[in-house]
Amino acid sequence: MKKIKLLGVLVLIFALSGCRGSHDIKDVAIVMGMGISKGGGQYETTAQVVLPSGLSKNGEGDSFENYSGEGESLAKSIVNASSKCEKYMYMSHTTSLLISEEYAREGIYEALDYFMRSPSLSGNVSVAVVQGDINEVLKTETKLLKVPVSSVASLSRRLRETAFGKNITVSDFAEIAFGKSSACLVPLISAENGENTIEGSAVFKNGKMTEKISNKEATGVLWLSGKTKNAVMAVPFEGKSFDIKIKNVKTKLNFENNLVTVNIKCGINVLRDNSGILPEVGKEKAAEIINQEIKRMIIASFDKMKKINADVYGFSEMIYKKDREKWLLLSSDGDVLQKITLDVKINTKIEDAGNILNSGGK
Amino acid sequence: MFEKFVKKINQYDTRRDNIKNTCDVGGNIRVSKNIEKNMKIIEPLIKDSSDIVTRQFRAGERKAVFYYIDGLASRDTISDFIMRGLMDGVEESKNFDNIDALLDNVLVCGEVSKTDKINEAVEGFLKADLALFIDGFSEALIINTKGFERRGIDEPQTDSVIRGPREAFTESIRTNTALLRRRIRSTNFVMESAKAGRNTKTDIVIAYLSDTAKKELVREIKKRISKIDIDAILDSGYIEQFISDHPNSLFPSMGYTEKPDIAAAKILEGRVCIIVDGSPFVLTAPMLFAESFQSPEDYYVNPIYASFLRIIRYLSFLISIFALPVYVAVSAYHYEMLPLSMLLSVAAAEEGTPFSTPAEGFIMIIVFEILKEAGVRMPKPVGQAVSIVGALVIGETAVSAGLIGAPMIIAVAITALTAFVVPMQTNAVVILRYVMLALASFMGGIGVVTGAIALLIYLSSLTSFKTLYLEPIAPFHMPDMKDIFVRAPIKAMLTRPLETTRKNPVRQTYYKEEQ
Repeated sequence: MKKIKLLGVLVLIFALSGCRGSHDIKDVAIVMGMGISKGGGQYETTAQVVLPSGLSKNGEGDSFENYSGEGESLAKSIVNASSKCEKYMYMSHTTSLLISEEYAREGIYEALDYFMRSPSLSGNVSVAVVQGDINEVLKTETKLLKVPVSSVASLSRRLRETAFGKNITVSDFAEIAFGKSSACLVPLISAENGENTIEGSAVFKNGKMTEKISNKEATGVLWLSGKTKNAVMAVPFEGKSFDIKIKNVKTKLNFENNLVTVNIKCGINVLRDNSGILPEVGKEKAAEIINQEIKRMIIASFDKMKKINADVYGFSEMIYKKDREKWLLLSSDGDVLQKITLDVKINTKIEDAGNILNSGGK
Repeated sequence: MFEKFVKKINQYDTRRDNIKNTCDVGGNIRVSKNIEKNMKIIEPLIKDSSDIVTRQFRAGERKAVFYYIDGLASRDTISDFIMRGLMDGVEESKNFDNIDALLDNVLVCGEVSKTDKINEAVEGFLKADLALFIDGFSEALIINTKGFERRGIDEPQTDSVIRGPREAFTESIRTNTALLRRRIRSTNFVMESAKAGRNTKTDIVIAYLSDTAKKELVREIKKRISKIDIDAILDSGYIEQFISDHPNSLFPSMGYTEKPDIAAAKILEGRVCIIVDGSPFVLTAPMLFAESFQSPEDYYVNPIYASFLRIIRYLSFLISIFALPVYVAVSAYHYEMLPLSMLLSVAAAEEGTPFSTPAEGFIMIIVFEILKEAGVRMPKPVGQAVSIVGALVIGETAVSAGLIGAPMIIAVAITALTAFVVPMQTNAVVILRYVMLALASFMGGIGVVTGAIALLIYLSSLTSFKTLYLEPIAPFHMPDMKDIFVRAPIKAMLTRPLETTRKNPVRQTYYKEEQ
């Protein structure tokens, strides 16, 4: 009896898992990113496979290889790309999903669905829209990270530090797209002069790209949605200007009677003031100037978003979660965003570096 | 299972029932008053042994003969205190008509015993004493003249410490008992003697604190030792394999130590020590799993540092068993677990190597074991050659030739190194590693987890002299956790462990600093 039990346990163990689940690490091609474009009803998918030996410390030779495939559906094009690769294409470490502008304007729900359903792909893949030729971006090797898709993913993730936009992953995108606001910003990449740069953000609404906005407008959006932590900006004053670094930003949003009240608190470090504006106007006045500038930026981007009717701030979602009846009332005739008015209150504090009174070149 | 195996390999061996009594003389032959008769019995037994010395002389008017073994008995003692006493002393007093008078007045020796059996006298001189027969007496005298060469007290080869006593046990049982007695000067400290081995008649001492050790434990140990019937006991390892609860288990269920301070500490906790003549390793029982992770130095240094080292030891034990299997499981099955940058470096290193990762793992640990074994057995002057060949061939050339991936070498090196952090469990760890590696190779992560669970179940089923092996972790005793994963300050160790003593729990009263 004991032996039979033991045998049973062994059979179970081997049945649960077995050598067949094994892919040795050297028998797989690690896909780090994918580029999807669409033209004439045909999808073209490029999988970027990393060549580990090219990445290693004293590695020589190429560090990546692109495999492209075409097909009438996304899945088919991926299979066609995969069929050209000599090794098993292993996708769990995909970091970046690049989408061509034409395809983005058509709507990317299909790609989204594929990525969300695939068991081997995680939702934690950065999405970016490519302005111009997607193959150019996929070919542009950088010195630091070597693999183009991972450099794009890395650029997107670092957006938070410059406040030029916001990194968005597949699962974030899906969450927003199927939520009440259904609009979001996606970084816009282009390959120019042999390097990949963020050229602004693409505004997506209902899974389709509708508009491009500049870095500055994106910053305004981020201010309002409370996603900014740090930012550097130039503040104009009577034909001259001074540079500041904004840090420790705390944003509080409050909604009442169609009025969104925004309370922003932040600290300011002065980075440049060679025209001597600060000593001239005094610290308090300078803070006032900065407040006005930030406010202007926020209002400008809000107006633009209102114009293109894209609730990238997530106001609709916020109201829905807070007061469902109110949301029903607001959304019954037209979009929620159009009915919202904004009240921005900014409270900045210039910190010690602003006390340097004698700057060079004054 | 093991008993079946023993039966199977012995079933066609018909010689096993032919037990020969190796006793030298019939147990019942008594010492005769006629010395010639006695000599006639002993003479045939020793006539071929060139090292046994027979000396006949006259003690006063009586004939006398003694036997001793050259090299084992001290010649100075014999000539100065026995022969001179008998030849001169008897001359002066002349009147001794019973053997007690001789003992009282003539023999200037510390330890003398009488026997009326010839075989006891023979055993006496075989163990380095002197056997003296005098005409007219029906008793022989066994006089302690032990004076053989023995190794001095040295520094221990195992359990070395930076801070703490550096004495180690030797092969001589009396030296060892003296080392212990010097540390525990209490009449409660008992050293009972026993014997085992038909040919070797090896002395065994069972040492314990009579007011602390569990009575049933002592009784059980004595009972088990008395049941041993074998021709020779050459090391305490023999005893361990006879009397421990699970002699065929991977994990040791009896402790051993080479250091008297460790042995004394264990005795003071209520454990029993078994000292075997001819072995510098003293056995301790019962042995708990947690004991393997305690080093004597833990108690001599700062408790914070000692606790840190404890945790490092537990960690090393786990790393030593699981590092290689986990690496193999991850790189053959679950590389989605690896962060991207690590995956890339592993993939770069493994690219182009001919063997699969599990095969690499097996090859490397077997090669390592071969190197280790060669290093231990090899004559010392050749040792350097082995280390050069080992380091160069295994570490360097295998990687640069593209035969083995570099991360595998690192995993094997870590595994190999950490196994020595817990010396008591090294043997278990080495075997377990192969089992786990096989599980990881065939089943990946599920295999490793299954193996770990099986290991836990197995560990908790073990006992050592009726004490559960995993005590006090499972079953959990809070008061004893003060010396398991951390080492509490000495001042906080108010009681002895529950597993080893119940009747005398208090170790110290709380030490209050004066305000």
